[in-house]
Amino acid sequence: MSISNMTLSEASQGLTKKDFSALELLDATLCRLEAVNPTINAFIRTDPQLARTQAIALDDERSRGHIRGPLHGIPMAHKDMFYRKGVGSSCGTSVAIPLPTETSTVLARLDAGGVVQFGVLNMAEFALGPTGHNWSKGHCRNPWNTDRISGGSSSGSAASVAARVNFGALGSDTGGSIRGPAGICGVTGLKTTYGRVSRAGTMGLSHTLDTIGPIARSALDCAMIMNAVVGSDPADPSTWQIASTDYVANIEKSLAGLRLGIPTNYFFDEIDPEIDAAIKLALATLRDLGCTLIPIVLPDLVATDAAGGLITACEAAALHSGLLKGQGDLYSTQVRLRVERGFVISGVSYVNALRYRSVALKQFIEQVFSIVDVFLAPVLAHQTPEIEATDLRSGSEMDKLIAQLTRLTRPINYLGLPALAIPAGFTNDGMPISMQLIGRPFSEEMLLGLGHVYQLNSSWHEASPAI
Amino acid sequence: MNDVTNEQVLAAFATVGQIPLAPAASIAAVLSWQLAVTSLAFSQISFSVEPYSFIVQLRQGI
Repeated sequence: MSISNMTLSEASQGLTKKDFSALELLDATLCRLEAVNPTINAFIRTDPQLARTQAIALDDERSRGHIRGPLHGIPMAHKDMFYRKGVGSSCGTSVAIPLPTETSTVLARLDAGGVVQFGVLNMAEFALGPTGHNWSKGHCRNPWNTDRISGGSSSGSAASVAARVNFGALGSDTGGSIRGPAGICGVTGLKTTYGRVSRAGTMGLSHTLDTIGPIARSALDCAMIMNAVVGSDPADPSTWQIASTDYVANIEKSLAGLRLGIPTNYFFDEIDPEIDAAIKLALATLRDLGCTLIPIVLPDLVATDAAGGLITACEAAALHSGLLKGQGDLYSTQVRLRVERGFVISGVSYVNALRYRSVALKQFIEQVFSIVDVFLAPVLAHQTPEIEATDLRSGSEMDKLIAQLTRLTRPINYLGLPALAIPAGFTNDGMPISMQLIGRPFSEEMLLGLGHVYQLNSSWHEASPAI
Repeated sequence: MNDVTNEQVLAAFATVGQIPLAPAASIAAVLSWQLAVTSLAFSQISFSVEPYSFIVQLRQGI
């Protein structure tokens, strides 16, 4: 196996056993990057010399017996919205963003864990778009088929991991921006509970909905990244002081008796037959592993979806009002339109959309999680569209497309719940199919464990695109 | 609540010094959201519910 084709956990083991050095691992990654990035456009910037300097220093530390942890010497690149002091972040836009004065908490924690950051990744402009289009930095391409969308907004995070040019990446998820691209590119992505991972020092989009999480090749790899970044942070008051857990040590789960819900409404209402068949196959596997499958009627999620969209529009408009005033012409049309609509929503509607949130969550927990421990749903109900067919910069068709791509993910952001997107098969034309496992607040450990056991008994996550 | 006029839209954009790119499209989308949220959700909110109770509910839901 080539070094760059390893998973994060395999690369970590290789470093521990001294099969290769951090510098050799980085150079293999950079070599792979040169080969594939011109095709997928997943990277906005690379920092090879700085990364090599870091890798050499980390190899020196290791030779002296100082090992920071399992991520010591692992090359990673992240969505270009995680700020580093004194280094410009593009946020996927041509708009001038002030130079950061602080490093984001999550990058600082990965630095402390010994990660070598070798670049920053493509993303939807200001994380406002579920397709992977970017008219400023160029569209990100799906490694499985470069004519198809990569998904977004964490487009480069998913595409780079799928193309085996990145061992793991941070993304953000406000309406599906981790799960969507992870699902469409055939990798694993974790949308964390609201308040589980610090957003301090990251680009905001919608402060009551934004979450940070990992995209990687497997649930185990996601668990390794989560161990490094999770936890409360005084710099982000939304984070909660909850007892920390070791997601890797606790990932081996028995699924015996686990109550797995299958929604009878909403999530499967418009599902493509090929995707439906793949999900049913995954359910059969999980049943064979000991899960008890329970049909479950979910509370209405139409209003939940709409309320999430309304809140994002309002909060994004407030965040962007200053930039729009001075640099509105630099926004791409689609993104500016999406920001602008927030200006015409009434304050009463915004506050009521926030007030309904606790009502909806209480209802959801009582109705769903009193019966099941976790439920399973597709990430996307439709076949992955082509880039050209979705190159919609404005108009009602754009609204329909965005609604279709986020319909199954945005309600979970509104409810604040964690969800793990994992590969579940392929369509007849070779595009990945993904399912999401959704659990109670702060149940990431269970979701990662369930995903890990499923991946030990399936091989969808091991398939790699012929790029 | 959903009866937003063109004048109100233009006034909203004026507060941030912008000329809207497509007010008609924006209005339609916004009205769609407001209508969905109003008709399906707001009727379930009691007088005492305040926005921050979501965080409490989230932490109680573990």
